[in-house]
Amino acid sequence: MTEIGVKLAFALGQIAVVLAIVLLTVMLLTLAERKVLGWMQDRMGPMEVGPYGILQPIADGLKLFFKEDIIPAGANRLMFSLAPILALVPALIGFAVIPFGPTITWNGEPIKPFVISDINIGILYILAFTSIGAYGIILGGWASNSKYSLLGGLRSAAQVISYELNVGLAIVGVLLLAGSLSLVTITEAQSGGFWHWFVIAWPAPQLLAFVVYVISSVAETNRVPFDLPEAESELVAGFFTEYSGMRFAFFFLAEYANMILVSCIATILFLGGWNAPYPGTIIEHVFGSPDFAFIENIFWFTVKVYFFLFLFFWLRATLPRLRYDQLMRFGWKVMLPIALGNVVLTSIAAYFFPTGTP
Amino acid sequence: MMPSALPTPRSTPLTRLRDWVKTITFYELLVGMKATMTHFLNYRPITLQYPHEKRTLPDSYRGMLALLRYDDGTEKCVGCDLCEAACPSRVIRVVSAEVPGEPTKRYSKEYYMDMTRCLFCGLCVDACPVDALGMTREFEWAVYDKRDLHLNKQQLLAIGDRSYPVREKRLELQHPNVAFFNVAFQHLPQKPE
Repeated sequence: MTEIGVKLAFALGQIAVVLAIVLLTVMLLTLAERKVLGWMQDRMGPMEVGPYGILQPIADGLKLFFKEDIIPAGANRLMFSLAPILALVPALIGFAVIPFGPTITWNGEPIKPFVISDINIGILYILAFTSIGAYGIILGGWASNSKYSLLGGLRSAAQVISYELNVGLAIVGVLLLAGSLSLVTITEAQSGGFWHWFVIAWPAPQLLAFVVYVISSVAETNRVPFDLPEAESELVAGFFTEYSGMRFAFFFLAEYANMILVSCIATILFLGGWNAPYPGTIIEHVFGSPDFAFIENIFWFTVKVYFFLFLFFWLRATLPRLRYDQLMRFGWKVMLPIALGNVVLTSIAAYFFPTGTP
Repeated sequence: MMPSALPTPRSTPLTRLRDWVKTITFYELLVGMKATMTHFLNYRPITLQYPHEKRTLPDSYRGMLALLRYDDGTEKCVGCDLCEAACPSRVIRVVSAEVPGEPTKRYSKEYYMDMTRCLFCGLCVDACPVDALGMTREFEWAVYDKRDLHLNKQQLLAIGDRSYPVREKRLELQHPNVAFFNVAFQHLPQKPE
């Protein structure tokens, strides 16, 4: 009884901490994106609220919180209210299986404090839930009773179908090499230096799959240059044209949470997750304290995730939006064959050079 | 076949291979990303933090219009309506009247400017024969109510007073040679004989 109680309290604590970190990161990202975009375009970004505009996310949040919540006439009220939640929840729920740090030994037994739940189908779970997130966008677009929203939602539907497939196929190579769907096992299979990371690992470097995954994940999160569902120069704001106040904020949160999620997955699958680019950790080797090695591991995880998040901003500052037929052609006629070819090549390599994992 | 002014570059297997390599390595995208990264690393913003720091206005800046006075405090305007005639946007409306008791002298009894329409061309200032109109260097005239931009004579004079503290000396038309055509303002100091 007490053991279950302790476990439950521990799990709830983990959930609270992860949720807090994710939401704080979203706040940070909204500021960081505007700042980075500004710096790349010879502007300053937000400068008014607080020194150098660092309190801008708080001001934005307060503003969105107190804005009037408008439901347009003719909208399907149930679906209209449901859609933002349907977009946000799958984005947040994916973090349940993300391992932020290593398994550590405590009182002689291994515990996993940095992953809420290490289930053995972790990546499948994330793929399933992020697909549900697309329903939020599609239903939000449909329920708004607005042509712009509907067009945005429809574009999102077609785009997600095209690119979700590529994400799945790009991941298959990694799963073949790691021999597991658990994100913790996949990360542990890449330990021992950057040459073990699956993006360049022997016997089948997943470089092509990595590129396909990064491009597809940008498309999946509806970011520039694949932001067709919310193309502001064509569709006002796309699927969330009619949304205001907190419902709009939910869509906003969902987009940024999705960005963090796909960055975490790219880090875990291709760049070795929490593993440092050298074997072991400095804290363990030099200072001889393996109990605190997780600090360095979490540091490396954060660095890698932020590299991807910066890449999102960088792409946004540089690239123009693709045309719709270009997007489709690129997804189906370029990325899909590459991902399929990568699966075949990886299978052959993994068959002839088994790496020990089942 | 599209007619093209420029000759197309010759397509050899080598150039085709080069183009193909450029395509599959995202060469053009990387050039663009290098450009943005260069700007990111050499961060030199051109932004001016407007309400906190302001631009230096050019010498010939054409800002808010104003009615001016002479150094003795009398209005320059003689109510000739030339500004009203010169204005391309019909901003100005002058109600001209005789100076009471002096039938040959006129002044603007009422003077209205609808600044919502003004395009700050400066034609009224050029048209004024007595330099009674001036363009100040004021530009922060955002208002909540559009009607606040319909200015009357008092407001225009007030703008002139705060923007032109140094006033022109009154034109001296009281010289005996011309005084015949002009009726003296009795309350003004006369030029000594």
